[in-house]
Amino acid sequence: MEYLQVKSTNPEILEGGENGGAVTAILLSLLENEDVDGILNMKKHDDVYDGMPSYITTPEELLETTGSLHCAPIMTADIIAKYLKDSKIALTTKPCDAMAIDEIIKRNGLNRDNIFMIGLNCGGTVSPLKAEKMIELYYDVDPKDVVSEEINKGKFIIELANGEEKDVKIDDLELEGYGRRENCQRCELKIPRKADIACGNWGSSKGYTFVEINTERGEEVIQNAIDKGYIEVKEPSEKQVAIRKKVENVMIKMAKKKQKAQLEKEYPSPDELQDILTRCIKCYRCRDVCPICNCKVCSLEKEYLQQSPEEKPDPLLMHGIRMGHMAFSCINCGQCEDVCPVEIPLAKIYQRVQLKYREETGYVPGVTSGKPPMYSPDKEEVAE
Amino acid sequence: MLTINHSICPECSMGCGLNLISKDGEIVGVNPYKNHPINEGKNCKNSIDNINTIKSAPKISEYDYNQKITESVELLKKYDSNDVTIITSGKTDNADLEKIVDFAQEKDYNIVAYENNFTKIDSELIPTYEDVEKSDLIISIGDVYRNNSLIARRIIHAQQNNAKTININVTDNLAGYNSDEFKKIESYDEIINVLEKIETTKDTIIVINDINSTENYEKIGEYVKEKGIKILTLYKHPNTFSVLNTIQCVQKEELMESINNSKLLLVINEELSEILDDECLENKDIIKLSSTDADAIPIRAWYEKDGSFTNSEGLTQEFEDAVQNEDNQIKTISEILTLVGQEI
Repeated sequence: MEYLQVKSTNPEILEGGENGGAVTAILLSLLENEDVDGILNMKKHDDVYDGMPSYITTPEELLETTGSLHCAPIMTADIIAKYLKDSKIALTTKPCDAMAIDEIIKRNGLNRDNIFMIGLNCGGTVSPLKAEKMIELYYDVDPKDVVSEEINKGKFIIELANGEEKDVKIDDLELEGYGRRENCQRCELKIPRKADIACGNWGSSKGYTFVEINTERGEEVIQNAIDKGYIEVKEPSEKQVAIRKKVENVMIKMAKKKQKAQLEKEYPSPDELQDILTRCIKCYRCRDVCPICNCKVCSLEKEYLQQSPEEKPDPLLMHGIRMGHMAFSCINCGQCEDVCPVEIPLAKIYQRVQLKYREETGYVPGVTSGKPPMYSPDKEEVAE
Repeated sequence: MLTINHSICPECSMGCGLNLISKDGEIVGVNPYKNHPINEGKNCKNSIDNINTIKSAPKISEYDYNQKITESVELLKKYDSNDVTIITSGKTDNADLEKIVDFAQEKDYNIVAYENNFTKIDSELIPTYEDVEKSDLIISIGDVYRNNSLIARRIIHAQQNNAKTININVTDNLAGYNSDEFKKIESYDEIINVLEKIETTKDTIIVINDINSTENYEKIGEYVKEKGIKILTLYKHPNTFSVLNTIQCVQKEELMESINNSKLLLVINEELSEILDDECLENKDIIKLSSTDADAIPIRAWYEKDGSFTNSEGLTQEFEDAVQNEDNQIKTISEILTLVGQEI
């Protein structure tokens, strides 16, 4: 089996989850059958704009995580690599999470056997505060009244406490500088095929989750969940498979267009870039959150590369070096740009270099098997 | 067990949010708090350095307070109240600050704080952080880029909206490199002369994080009033705003004088060795309450307690115990002062 339509048999999951509730049902199956020590998942904290990564060890907590949180652009790959690498865990992975995990595994930072990756198809995420402003401006709604949101058929849809739904076309929102994060707009990977299974609603029948099975382990996970009564399944029609493919292709085409606009037409000139990089305070947050940067000893903090606080920052001593060390593997997750306190468009800078590298070598980070062609064996020594 | 909880950074008075990662009751890392209205998941180097220091510091979750409290009570009983001076700082949250002030008043002790030469400023002169983004002329004093990067971000937004920026500093600095004009001065004693030559607009905002004397800061305050503009002061401690409104804040010389005139110092959440020469503390009895000094009576750290503080724009922010270690038996300042107060 390659494609299935999956539905949870648990009414509580069906009520709170999106489509067929397959993701929560499969996670529940893994947890209750003790296939994993715990689950790392996003949980609604204060409201729908406040997604918090949560390590879950009980079914009750897991049921609190049903449903999507598009306004929580948080990555979990670095949390596993830093704090949970010795645990057997399941986690939901957007395409960027899956790419990040793949690159970390290539650098010996994680053991794939310890991780059950339940992939989520993704058209992009929205920055939470921008989402609130956008909802106020374009939906004429108090953002606090929103109880859930989803991205479907090119629209950002909100549901209010009274059950009312409102939607606006994402294209229209993005024209006004709202909508998805810019790196998400440029992202070409919509289905995380490095995950054991990839779940989503594209092409699915109403009330079902469309699941693509990518690994043998994914097949086992699904079979176990069926056998133990967590899910029921049916095969999608050829038409449904074709619809899903079409949605994916349209989104990839749109991403390429955005790459052209943001990385060529609107890209800062060398002089502008020099000015922008002069803001860098060397907080190293871009490195800290980067899933590619997981060397134990980081060159950036070497004594001979430091400047006094009075000196004008030399971009080569920070981003020049960082670029040489990781840009070939940049997955365009946008975390570096999200956390930069001085608004340096880092994801654009690094993705632009990666795309040039891709042109020359064919290497797609997080997707291509094996290490990048210019990968230095020295990294093995500093990685772990 | 791994947990992630919201908290607020205590490294300056901006009030930036962060998500703290704890494992088995100890802080192990930080995750971006992207829904925080002040910093949107961005944190500066000071914030991250602080977390890294906490991560590598020895951990205490148990302490036998009985003996230390008995010793402290004996010392406090030994001296007349006017020989006792409490020294605290803006590192103390609102509830503990209130308790310290009550304790001082009840026992008739002196109480002072040193807040880097800043003094109370009229609330109508203080802009919001959002006002900074809307300003058309921003005059920064000190290196606000390096020391308060999240306000630098607001200045960058203002520049993108065509605001003009001027930096005044006694050294070359990052704020200077990133401003339209940099005015290097020999000393902050020249600051008023330099400001007087700038043609301000009604939306001008001064953003300041450094000054050499209270007198010069007060002169800037007068200048701001006269010109009808605003001033945002970025303090080095999270709750300096409340301290300035509650306690007599002194300059270094006055602090030294207070110490000289005292026989017993009750130092709460302040590192005097970072302000004064150790010599001035010789021959003084000292009771110290600190979350970072291993020789002091331990108190709950910022991240390990519920509390509130008032940030630079005058907004009171609440925070919760982000570690939630049920085995942590370390007491808060208020709890310790209550125990001490009962014994005197």
